[in-house]
Amino acid sequence: MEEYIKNRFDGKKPFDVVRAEDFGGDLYDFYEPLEKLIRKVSGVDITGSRPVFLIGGRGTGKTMVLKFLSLEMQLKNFIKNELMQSKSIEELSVNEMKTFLDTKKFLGIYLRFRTTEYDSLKGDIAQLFKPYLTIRVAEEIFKILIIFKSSRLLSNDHEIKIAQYFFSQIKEPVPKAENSFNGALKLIRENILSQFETIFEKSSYCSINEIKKDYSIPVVISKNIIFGLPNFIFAELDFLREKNIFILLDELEFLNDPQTQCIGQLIKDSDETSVIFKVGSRYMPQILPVGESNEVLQELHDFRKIDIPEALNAAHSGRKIDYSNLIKNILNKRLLKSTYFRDKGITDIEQLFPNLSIEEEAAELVKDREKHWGKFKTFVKQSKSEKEINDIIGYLKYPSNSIIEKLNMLLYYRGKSPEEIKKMCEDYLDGKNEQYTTLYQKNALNLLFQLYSDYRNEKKYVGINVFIHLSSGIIRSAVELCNQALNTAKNFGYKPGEGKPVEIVYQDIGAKNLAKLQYADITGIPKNLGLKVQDFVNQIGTIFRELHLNRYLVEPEPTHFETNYSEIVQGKDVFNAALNYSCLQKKPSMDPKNIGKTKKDDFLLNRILAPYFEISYRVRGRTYISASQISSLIAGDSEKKKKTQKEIIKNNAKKEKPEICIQSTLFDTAEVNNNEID
Amino acid sequence: MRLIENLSVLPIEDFLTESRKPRNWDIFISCGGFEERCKRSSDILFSKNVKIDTSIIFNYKETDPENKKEKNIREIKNNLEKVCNYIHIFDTESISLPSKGIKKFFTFLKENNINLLNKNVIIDITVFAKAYFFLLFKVLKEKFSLHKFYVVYTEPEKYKTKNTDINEIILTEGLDRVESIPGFTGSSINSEDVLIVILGFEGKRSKEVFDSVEPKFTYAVNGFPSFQSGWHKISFEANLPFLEESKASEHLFFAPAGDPFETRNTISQIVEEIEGNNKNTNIIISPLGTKLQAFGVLLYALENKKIKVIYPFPSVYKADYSYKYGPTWIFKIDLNKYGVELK
Repeated sequence: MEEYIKNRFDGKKPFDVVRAEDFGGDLYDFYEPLEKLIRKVSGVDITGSRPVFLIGGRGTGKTMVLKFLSLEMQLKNFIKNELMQSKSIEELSVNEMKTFLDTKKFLGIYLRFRTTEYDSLKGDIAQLFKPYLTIRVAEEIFKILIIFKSSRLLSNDHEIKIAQYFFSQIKEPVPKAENSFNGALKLIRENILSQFETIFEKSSYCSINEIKKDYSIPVVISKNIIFGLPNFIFAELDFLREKNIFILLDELEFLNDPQTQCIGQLIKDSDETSVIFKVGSRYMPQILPVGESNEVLQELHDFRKIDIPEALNAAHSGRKIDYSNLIKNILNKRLLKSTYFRDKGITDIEQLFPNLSIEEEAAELVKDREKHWGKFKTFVKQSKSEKEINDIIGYLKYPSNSIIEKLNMLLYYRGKSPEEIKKMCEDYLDGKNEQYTTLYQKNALNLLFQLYSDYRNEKKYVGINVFIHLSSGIIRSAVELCNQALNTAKNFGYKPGEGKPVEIVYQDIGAKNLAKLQYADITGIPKNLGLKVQDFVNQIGTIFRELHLNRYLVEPEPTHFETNYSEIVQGKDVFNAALNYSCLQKKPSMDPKNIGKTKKDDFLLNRILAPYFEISYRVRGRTYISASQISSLIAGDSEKKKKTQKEIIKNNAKKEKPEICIQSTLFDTAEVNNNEID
Repeated sequence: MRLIENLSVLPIEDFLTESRKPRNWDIFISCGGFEERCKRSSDILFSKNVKIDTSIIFNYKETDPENKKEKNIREIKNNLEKVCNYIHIFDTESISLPSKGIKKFFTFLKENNINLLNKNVIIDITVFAKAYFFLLFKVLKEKFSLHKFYVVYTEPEKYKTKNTDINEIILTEGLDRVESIPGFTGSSINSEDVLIVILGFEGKRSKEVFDSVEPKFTYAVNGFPSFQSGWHKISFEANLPFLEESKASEHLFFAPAGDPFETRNTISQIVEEIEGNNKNTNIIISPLGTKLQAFGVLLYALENKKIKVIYPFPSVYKADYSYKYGPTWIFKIDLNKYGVELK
């Protein structure tokens, strides 16, 4: 059982464990240094001397990063990877501890704002948040001191002085404890925290004045503990001189406004002290007031912000391969940890989920059939005779690659003559037509979606590269995709072995199952916003799907939209919730299409949902949706929503008018610079 | 034939028929709601000619566009008028604000000169929201020193039909918040949380609770035997994604859906196992199953102050939550020595 508590990794299910908590003390064994990549992409060093907000929803890795900075994890990592030994922290010798401390600039204490811990601190007793947090911080500091004590790094005199300092800052209950670290911890746990808990419980049916009649309220000097205690310790203990203490606060999103204000105040007060706050949150609060003052914390001046998915998406844009490498390393590390997979010769994730090219997938779908010409014939039939149609098809046909055939159809729809198309295509096949090459690269994947639609079949989502795209900068999603795919395959009798990848069908089912689950999970967004966000996401996804099937394919693979965020009036709470809960992701704004137009804000539909809506998993075509249209999609009645949806699709799709041929060049060559690696 | 062997939970008709003399209660507390079953106990109390001094009917603030709640409360009142001296309708707060509602209850009692001290109380928990009756029993115990109660519960004939799209029964919609039930904030002193979920029909709720707590370990209790044959399978299937993700499938227990005492014992057994493995954990329970199972959680949590009870407060309770009514059960509870057989 002890082993189980430590680490729940199961070699037969290497992608099953996704939470930092489940790796227990072995977290560092599975940890891939995310902070290095973040520093490379965002320029922010989380281990630097500035307060940092680490932003990201569930599974983005923020808890991993914060926990990894805690002293406990740093020590475990040191023992395993630098001392190459297996011993407990308590067994470290004085010299080993000194060696460790010589390399460290900081000591990290990790605290999580558990929803179930802080939720009762409101109303009458809201004011108790600060003293309660203070005591929680002190508790963690004493845990660190006990580690140093076990290494015999400090004397009894030091211990007594530090404990006495702490006790002098507690005004109520009057400390009656042994002058030692254990005495301090005992006082904290058995007296102060339990006193707080009684008050929390009573506050649900008694006013604070009624509570005061029977119980005393703890009183502590917060400033002298949160900042004063580390300063006192660092001054007292030579081996900690010049060090900083990182207070690693996770899950800020669970705090209410007054509690967040208190954190703002603490961050402000930490300036020029040895305390540096590193805060993890699902989303960045709109503003961070400094206590009850009018002052707010300002990025750059007071803190730095790292949005993990934004940083990781940036590490996956253009031709960058950092994010892909990070994910592959994480997944491969798990395969290497699994004797089950290692013994079978599977050490590379691509062996399980090999990539499939667009052409291979198209060939597998079409299987020498000609169904995809059906819609084309119906369209051309309106103005051409049977013979003329056959002649046109003769020009456009290229049976060995149905994507080329689809592209030829697209060019015909856009007004190119069959002869021109044939010429372009032949030149392309000879490697001589750049325009056709660009068009092919730009449209091929979307044309594959259309091809699936022609065959009344669903697009498959397979291959590790596709999974990495689908993960949308969220590490856990990539791991979970592999888990879903592998589990599905296993349920159907799959047994891993060299040269035996997970079958396409099971990879696809895994991706679709996860998309369905993620979509269903949206309803769980609190503050009564879940259903509204889900409805909004559904509409955006439906618009993108419609645009994927558009004959003229003005913007292939539409998976993101641009709007004027500041102009959204109605439904902004829903829009923000969609962002805060990673249904939408902010992406760097693209340049306007026309000179003189201002930049807008770009938002990407979380690509994990792509299989649910059967849309592309890449970041390509943008769709313009005005702020008022966003409001209508969110807050309109069902008629208004439908109307707005149609209007957006119409505005973003090519109109079926002859002038399309004139405009066609506009979208033939536009925007290939923001592509991701395929 | 019900599989409940624990005689401490009886059909109310049997209990009242078997009594030689008419039953008398000082206080009857019930709650009006959209569901038809909320008035069933008053039907029976009326038909069995019981005597009650004062009745208090909780009326939630929620709007009632089809006047279902109003109609049900009127009918409860009509029934009680024949057996009761005083009837009060207490306009409480919203269903999702139990703390406010119960604080308001104190004022209401004062204003109406209702004294609960040492009174013989019967409470119908059928449509009381779980968080409400948890806090209600807590304050009755702590503020009014009441320990002995009769508790009544009416089963539905059936719950809302399944949504075939997602293969789940939808009784509530959306999520307002996942929060401790007021008065049951328990202890957070330890750094590790262990979660026990009593499974209900809505699997998404278990997942919301799990996501919110992010516990070290998760245990689950499924209601078996269930109220009706096969219902335990519905809850099991609806909770499969949660059971898999949380690994609660490795710690799955069963307790009868209709027996609070057995549920309480099952929880006690689970807590023993948890503490046997690691004493330094916070124990968090989420009662998502039947009201009677929730009552079992309440019993255990009242005994053990370290237990935290949390609940996912939904945005909307569906008006057509359940249809008609099934059997009505009664049991007597002694919070000092509960589980007493009815005599």
